Amino acid sequence: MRHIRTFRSFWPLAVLLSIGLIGALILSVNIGPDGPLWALSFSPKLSKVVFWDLRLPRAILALLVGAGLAGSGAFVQGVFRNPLATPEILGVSAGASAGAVLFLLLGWGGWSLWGLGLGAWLGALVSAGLVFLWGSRQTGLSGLLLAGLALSSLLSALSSIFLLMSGQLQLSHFLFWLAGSLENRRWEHVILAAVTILPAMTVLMLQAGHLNVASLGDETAISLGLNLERYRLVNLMVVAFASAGCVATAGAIGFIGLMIPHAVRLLWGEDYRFFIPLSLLSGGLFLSLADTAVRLLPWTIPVGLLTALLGAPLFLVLVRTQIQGRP
Amino acid sequence: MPATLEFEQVLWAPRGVPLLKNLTATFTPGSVTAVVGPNGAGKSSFLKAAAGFLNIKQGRILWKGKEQRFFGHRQAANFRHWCGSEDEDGLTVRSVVEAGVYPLAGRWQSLTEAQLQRLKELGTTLEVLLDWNDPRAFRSFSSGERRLVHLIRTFLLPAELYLLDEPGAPLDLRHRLLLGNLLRQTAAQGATLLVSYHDLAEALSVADHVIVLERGQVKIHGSVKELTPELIKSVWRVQSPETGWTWASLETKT
Repeated sequence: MRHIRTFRSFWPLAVLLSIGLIGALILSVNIGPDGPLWALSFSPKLSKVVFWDLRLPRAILALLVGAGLAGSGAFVQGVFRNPLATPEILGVSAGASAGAVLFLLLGWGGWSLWGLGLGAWLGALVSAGLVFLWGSRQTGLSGLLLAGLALSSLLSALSSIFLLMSGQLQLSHFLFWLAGSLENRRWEHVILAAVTILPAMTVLMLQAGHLNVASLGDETAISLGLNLERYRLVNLMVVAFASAGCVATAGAIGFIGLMIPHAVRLLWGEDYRFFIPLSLLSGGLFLSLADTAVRLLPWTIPVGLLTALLGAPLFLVLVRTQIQGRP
Repeated sequence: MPATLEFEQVLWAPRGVPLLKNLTATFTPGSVTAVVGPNGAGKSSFLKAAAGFLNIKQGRILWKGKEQRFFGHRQAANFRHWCGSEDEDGLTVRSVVEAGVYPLAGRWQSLTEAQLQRLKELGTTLEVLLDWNDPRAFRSFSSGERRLVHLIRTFLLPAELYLLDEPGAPLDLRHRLLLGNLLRQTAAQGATLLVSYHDLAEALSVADHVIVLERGQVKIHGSVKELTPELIKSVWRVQSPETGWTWASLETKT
């Protein structure tokens, strides 16, 4: 019988992913429609503006939002013990969108980004609360997912109606809320994302050890001393906070919360103590690379469309290998 | 010695359907009680009530003379250990084993030297030949292997009350006997064990007491000697030959 050791490949992987993140950040600030950074060096003033005001905030925001989406997705999958349960599928992201757009419409928060953030947070909180109430009523997980899908469609429809009612409609706005984009992000977006996503992700990483116990099933988890109801409620609120930060700064970027945790699980295994941090890092890396790729295209498309285009087929491949790997 | 577990006039009737009725029973330390009865007799509900999972509205359930609801989550977790009949979930072998020390260690469960020693001991007692660091997903193991890992989780830390719902169901014959030894050993150290069984021969080989449930009520609670062929015939509606009940035949309608 062998000794129990810690997950041996965790630290090398975490370091490798962190190096990848830094690489992606450097790549991201060097690439853009105005050409690479060194080509702008004949005009130091312009290159300074491009670097500081355009590229760096956008690159950092991509890392933050990617990490927030993937980390929240991984955590919610664990809390509900279902690989399909993510904030976007349970309607939490749609709730954030609807809340933000409603605040836009009513003019609360004076059109500022922080007003949007508050609206997104309230919307996410309400939808997470609804999902929690539904989930704790013993309707089973498929009932929970169906309720989430219904809630999601309802709230998306509401968002669209609010946008149309606002009379300020521009196609880019519409795309932003429906597909998610990192176009023209400024430092204030970065700050909003940082103050919501970073604390939330820290909490989720600290809470990840409890998820291993929750994965044993409700009764067994309770018998081991986990206050499951409170744990679910508190952490769904934390996830709602992170989702609100992602949605208010980058719109509804799809598939990352679902796909990145799946990929991490398949490649590196299941233990949540390692799974949550690795999902965070991978999500940041993925969205950063996706956003860089989007900017290389000759025409402007929202990065959310690219993640969906890449994500869906990759997801199918992963599901297939997962099914084949099972007895 | 005070009783580890007491039921006082417990009624459990979710949605108006009584699953446990008028249930009064006392369980003392140092014994294995077999919980038996036909399907739907209330064995699982009884064990869940004993574990404190049910929101009992009528009657009281006491742990060491104190009502269950006065125990905190942690305190309860260290007092009673549970292995459910559907306990086959988990992430990896290691994560399930480490969950066994969660009542003491909290969120960063990892085994101390003494606990590691205990793990090896349990692995030898139950003859579990698994690599604790096996990276494969837990669900890719057989149901018997998964149950053995969960049993190891259950017995890793000491407790006063062990509640096991059909622990032997997915196990092979040898592992059922080894489990029986572990249960006897644990009882000899002063713990109280309640274990549900379908296999009466297995129940009788392990337990010193038996509680027979029928439609949510206690039919008999006492020494295993009270499990007579007449009783088996009346509760399970099977005929048992003089030699025993292991090769019982279906009762013919008269």
